[in-house]
Amino acid sequence: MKNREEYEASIFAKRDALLEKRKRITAAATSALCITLCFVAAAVFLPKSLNKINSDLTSTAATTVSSTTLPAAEELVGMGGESGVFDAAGAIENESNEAEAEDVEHFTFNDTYTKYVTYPATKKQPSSNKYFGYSPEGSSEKDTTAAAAAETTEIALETEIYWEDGSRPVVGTQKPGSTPSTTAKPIYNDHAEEKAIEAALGYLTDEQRAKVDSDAHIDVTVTRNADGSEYFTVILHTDEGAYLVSVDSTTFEFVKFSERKNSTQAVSQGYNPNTTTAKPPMIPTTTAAPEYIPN
Amino acid sequence: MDNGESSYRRFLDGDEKAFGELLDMYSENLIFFINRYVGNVAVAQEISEDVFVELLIHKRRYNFKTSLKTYIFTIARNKAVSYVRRCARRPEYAYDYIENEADVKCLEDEFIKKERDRELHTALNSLAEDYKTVLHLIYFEEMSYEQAGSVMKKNRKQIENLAYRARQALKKELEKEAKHP
Repeated sequence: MKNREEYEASIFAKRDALLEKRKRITAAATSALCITLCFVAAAVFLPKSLNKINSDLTSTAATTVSSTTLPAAEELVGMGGESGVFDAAGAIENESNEAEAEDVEHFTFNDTYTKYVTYPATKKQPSSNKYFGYSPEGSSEKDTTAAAAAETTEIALETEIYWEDGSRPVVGTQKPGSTPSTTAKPIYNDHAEEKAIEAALGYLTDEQRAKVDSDAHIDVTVTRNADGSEYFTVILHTDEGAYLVSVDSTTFEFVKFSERKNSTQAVSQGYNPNTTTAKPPMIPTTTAAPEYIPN
Repeated sequence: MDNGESSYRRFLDGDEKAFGELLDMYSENLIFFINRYVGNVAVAQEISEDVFVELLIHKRRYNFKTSLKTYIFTIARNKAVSYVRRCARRPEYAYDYIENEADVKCLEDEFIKKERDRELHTALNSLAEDYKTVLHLIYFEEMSYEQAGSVMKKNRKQIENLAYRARQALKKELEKEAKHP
């Protein structure tokens, strides 16, 4: 058993040891706390910094990608526009030469549109704008009907459809390329038309007869009325237009007379962009690619 | 009656010698009290040293509103109980002190002056722990029921009942020794 002095010395020695231990523990705890705070700070702020850096990089990359892909996209759009135009204007494309096709590649959509909806004057145009549902401004309904009838006659002559007896089907009653109707019995031949032409020329005045172009082709159409009677319409072309003289189909008597100006002649020949400001007959909007809109 | 509060206050004010007065006042009582828990004088002395180290380290923990003696014995009991429990769970933590019969004789001679107290001390060691503690605090340390209750973390009524049962058990033990000396 310790004596008094040893007992007291032991107490103070334990106190000093305990204080030293507490200091070490405090220092260790402080270090651990600092390390923990560092980890916490890293865990809290590092993801934010990484996210910010990542977002910056992403935005930069997106900008780079958009700036690099935009020309390609624009090129694709241009190609799509080309393709649509080519599809819509296939007939025209067949007649286009390679040089024109190469030039189109560098056009914008509007340029391409303008180029292809404009028919060159040197190229063959559609025989009639009625196939496009187009009625030019300034032409009267009467003129349009007459022009359509004349056009129909022209198509019928071009197709050269005849019956077995040598007669030709009644023009204006069937469309070119279709099978002749067996119910519509042809009753007129070229001889009747010649008589009708002669009768029509006879009803013209001398002045009018002098204006008739002798070299021009004379069109004859047959029109059936509601009561079953029919009459010939003879189209006599002049420099200023044409005279439309209607005569009875059997008696060749005069029925009516009308005059057509050149303005309607242009209509019968189709759309001429050089002489009219009307809308183009064909708008390739269905196959054209949409305009590219970058994000 | 001053139970060392003034000495401890002077120590807190910087008087190192005042702590020596506390040692003289409570060291042997603490060793004798702790020895009832641990049953080893050397271990009890080590634990009593830890009690005084506690006073040195945590200087501001005592608030001077209760008796310093009660405060010191409360710390001593807590440390003794903790030691006993720790040794019960993990024996390697036990202080490696061999019981010295001379130390025990010295300690008992210091505290047990009368033959009657010696017989009481012997009978007391055979009682349960709470009985030993309450009777020790009341008869050897001359504490009141309130002070004993503060040390043992019990109220006055519990201490009264505990002291009653402890006296009954001690009485039986003394009668047994009287029949079989």
